[in-house]
Amino acid sequence: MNNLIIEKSKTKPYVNFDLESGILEVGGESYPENAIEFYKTLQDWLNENLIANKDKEFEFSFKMVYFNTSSSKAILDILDILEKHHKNGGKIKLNWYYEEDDEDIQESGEEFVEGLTLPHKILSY
Amino acid sequence: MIDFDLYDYYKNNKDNNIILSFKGAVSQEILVEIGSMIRNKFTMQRDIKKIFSVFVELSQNIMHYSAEREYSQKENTNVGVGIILFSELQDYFYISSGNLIERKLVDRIEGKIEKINSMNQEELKEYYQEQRRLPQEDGSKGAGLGFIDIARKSGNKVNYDMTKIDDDHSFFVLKVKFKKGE
Repeated sequence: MNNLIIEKSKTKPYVNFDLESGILEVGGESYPENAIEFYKTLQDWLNENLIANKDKEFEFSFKMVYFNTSSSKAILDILDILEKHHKNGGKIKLNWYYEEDDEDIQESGEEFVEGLTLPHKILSY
Repeated sequence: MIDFDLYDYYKNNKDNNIILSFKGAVSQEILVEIGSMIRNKFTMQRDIKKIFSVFVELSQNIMHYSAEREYSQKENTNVGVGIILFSELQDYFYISSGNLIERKLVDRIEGKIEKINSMNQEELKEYYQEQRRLPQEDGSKGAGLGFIDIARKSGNKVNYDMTKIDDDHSFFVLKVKFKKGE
């Protein structure tokens, strides 16, 4: 199976993209030296595997604890890929998780989903 | 170097309420270390996540944009040299950063910060979202969102200062203020 699994590190989030279950997850802290480079791997995987599995149901969950501004831009680029897949008839849902009382992560989630047409939820844990 | 009075330097730091400072190449490794020191030191602060976030943006500004570069063997890349300091007064914390920039960039940076300082929180939020939509500048590792994020997280104006060093360089100082919380 062509899964993408990256262990979390001090400045990079964990990534768990499981093609068989369709569960895609990114979480933790994100402030790498080069966020664009780090997230490009994720974007490439999505660009390749979403289209190749058009009838599959995918569920993407962000469980971010902290992210810097360059990660924020890269996350937006991921959301664009998911939105495009949805508009092309793909089956995809988005969950944005925030730790209870973490207003910054909650608000950033609300800002990210503004204008999205793909099904999405903002959830606390 | 033999003439350098370390006590004088220490006392100057102390008199200016500087609780933590670093001068040198701001590598990712240094950022992580100072970052965890801050998190440990400010655990009681309500705004610790915001303070940490401003620290990361200031440090990565130096890392990516300082005109003074130093090769880091470990990271196999050139990292920016600069200074970061934390000071603590009765009611406020300050995080400051300083680094060399090319003088030809001074006007552009000043313009950016002045624009941000003229905005309220709602306008900053919109401006952030608008700027985040712009394509990445070629070869840049940053998103060009740092100043806006700093203004949003600190809830205060971004203080800055430019000092001409020579024909080609200025020293660029950013100072961010946080009100102390419980």
